[in-house]
Amino acid sequence: MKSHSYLVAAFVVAFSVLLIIPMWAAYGVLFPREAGHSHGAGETVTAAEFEQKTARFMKERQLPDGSVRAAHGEPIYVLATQYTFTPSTIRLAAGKQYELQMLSTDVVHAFSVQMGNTSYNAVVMPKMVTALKLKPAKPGKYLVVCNEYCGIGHDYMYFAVIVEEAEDKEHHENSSAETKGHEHGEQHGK
Amino acid sequence: MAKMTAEIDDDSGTGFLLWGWIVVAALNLGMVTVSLAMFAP
Amino acid sequence: MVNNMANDRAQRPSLAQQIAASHPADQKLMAAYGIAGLLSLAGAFALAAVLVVIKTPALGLASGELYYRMLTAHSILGFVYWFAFIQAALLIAGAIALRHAGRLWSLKLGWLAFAFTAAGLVVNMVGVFAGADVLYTAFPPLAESFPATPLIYLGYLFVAAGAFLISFDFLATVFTWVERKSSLQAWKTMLGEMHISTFAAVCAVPLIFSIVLTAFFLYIPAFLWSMGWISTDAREFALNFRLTYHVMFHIIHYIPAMAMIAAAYVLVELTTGAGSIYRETVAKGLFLMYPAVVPPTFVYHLMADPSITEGIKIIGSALSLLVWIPSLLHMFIITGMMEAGMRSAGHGLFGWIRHLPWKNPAFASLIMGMTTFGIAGGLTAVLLQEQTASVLHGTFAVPAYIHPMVVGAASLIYMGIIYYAVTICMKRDLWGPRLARIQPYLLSVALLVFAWAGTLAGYAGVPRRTADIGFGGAAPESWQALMNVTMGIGGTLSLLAGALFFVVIGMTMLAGGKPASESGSDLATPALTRTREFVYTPTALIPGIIFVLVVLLFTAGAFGIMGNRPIQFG
Repeated sequence: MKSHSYLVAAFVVAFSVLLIIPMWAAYGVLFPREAGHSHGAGETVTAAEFEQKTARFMKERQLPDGSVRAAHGEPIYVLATQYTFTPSTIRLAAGKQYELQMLSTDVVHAFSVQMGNTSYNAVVMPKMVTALKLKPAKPGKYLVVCNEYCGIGHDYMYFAVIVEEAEDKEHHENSSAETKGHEHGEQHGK
Repeated sequence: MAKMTAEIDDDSGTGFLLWGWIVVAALNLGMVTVSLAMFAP
Repeated sequence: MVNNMANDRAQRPSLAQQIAASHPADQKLMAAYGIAGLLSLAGAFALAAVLVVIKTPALGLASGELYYRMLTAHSILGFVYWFAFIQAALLIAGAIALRHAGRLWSLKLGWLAFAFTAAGLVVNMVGVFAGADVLYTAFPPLAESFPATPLIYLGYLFVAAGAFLISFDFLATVFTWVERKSSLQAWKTMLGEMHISTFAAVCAVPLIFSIVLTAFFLYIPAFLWSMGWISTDAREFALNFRLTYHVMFHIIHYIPAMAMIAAAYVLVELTTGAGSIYRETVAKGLFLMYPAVVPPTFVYHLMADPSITEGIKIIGSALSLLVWIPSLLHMFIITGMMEAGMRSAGHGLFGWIRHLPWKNPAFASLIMGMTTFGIAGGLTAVLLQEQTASVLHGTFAVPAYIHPMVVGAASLIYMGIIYYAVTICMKRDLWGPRLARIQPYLLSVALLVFAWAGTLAGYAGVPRRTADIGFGGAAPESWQALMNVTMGIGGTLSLLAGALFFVVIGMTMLAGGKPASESGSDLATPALTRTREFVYTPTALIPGIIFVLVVLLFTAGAFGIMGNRPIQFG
């Protein structure tokens, strides 16, 4: 091989990082997103409007134990503020499609749901809504933490999402721990 | 690799470096200016 | 081609001699920047010790009060000031040390630039220790609640001004190298004659100007707002600030990337005697890619944000892949230079690796720096892509890749340069050569432990920028063990390696012996007797192939994880 052929080979190797792009397409086709697509640019609302929506949502969906049972087909509103999430416990049914809408009233927060050996992360901003589509598959209790530094109480800002079997909607004691590596503990942030 | 004398092995390609620099510098500052126009507070 | 180079080099002074011959007044400015940089780095390491103690769960000292302040100071010292000072020193070196009888265009301007940068450091540190626990990002809605915030924004304006002035000085210096400015041929000749590392610096200048431009558009309004002199809704400001910030932020990352590679070209020549093997124009031309492909990469930081559309995120991801290309090719060329040099001295297909100067701390810095750069780069693969970023955004995987990148790659290679700069310019032998020999290996291995355990922690969901990760007992148990390894082992060993470096360099400056030769024996450039003409470099292809495979593998892995999550996200 002539010496400059190695340089050409190096160019081929370097440009082959672009093979990632067809990988996106392949995975999009082979493993289509069950929950549909979100990640769009969020709509802009005022904190007051969103607080109203959240309050109304909680009023309609709140259970005696303080948790909120979401209905699929209508948005779930979550308000993030220093240093709590409202509502602080959300119940979902496995296998159903939901839409989550989140907003911060003050600083930038984040939504980081812990699923055992992996997590899903999205930023929650003031003024622009973060809209996520989700479809829980496995029942269990999932810790959601704020992983965007938001001040001194940041370490204590978290809430819980409980996924129940679809048939067990009436029995809300169910919190079968099918998922790996979970601890059951405090739900409330300070 | 430091070249100290005026002779260099191969002169072709330095034109590419000169024009290339001007083009990418313009492209860079252009892209950043557009971003600022869109986003800056 | 090899024979021409050999004759050529016999006639001109070695690179080491050239560095030694640079003008004392210019050297003084370079030394000021270098020492200020080293002090900043030492400060960053010292603060890192506090952070490691707080973040090692086994020590049970997790507390937010101290942590966020120390973290802010640590990151500003390490990421802003160490780099600002040392990169300015390298810029000056590119003008004066890599060119025969090179002189900086204006020493006064150089010192003014230094004054601004130093002032920025003081202002920023006063701000942090006066209570601005805002992290180096200092995002507006959060920063509002800290009265000392204006000092953070002001300090950043000073360091930006300093960077602008020194880059301007550098560019002006380069312009003086063309005597007949109206002659196109004169410009072309000047670019052809220029050392490749100086050309890298010339390519970095547009990036630096972009950073400064963005910084002014960002921090002037931010400063005015934080002083209460302009009123604007903090929440609205937050969005624009964040977007603009990230435009600037990712470009800032590429200055050390380019400077590191430029420094690597100098180090490979100083440590192995290797010369260029392909047309130098090709290697120089690769640096041209950076100003063109870096701006779209800002999207990388906003993958989990609602503020930009999916379409822009996907396009940004795709364009961001391009930045790997020049870096991969530079790594190939530098490795190839070593391989060609060694194999033309008669060594075998893989045997040449054994005969490299592994005991030379600067060589160790070079080789471990490049290796760590590749590994850290591979770790960014998942974070970079729109589809997969949600797996790792905001988790500990981010600092887990940042530290090997900025400390284990860029800083380590700068340390290699510093070994030479100190011994050559001060005409000293290296103090404690045995310590120096192990220091680069210890630092890279320690940081790779940090990176590996930290990345696993990130995949497991451990958040970044959080002092106490217990979450009232609700956090997974695995988190404690992962962070004990990351911080307790990786972090502590990194601190030890850093301490070794400071001891060696400090003692060399204070008590190093006068050398018999130009540099201490470990650092001396070996004389390679060329027994044959050899420019074939098959082995040099291997790291690049491994990198691409790792990146594709990580990406596939991330898609696998996403497909199997107990909660599916759209």
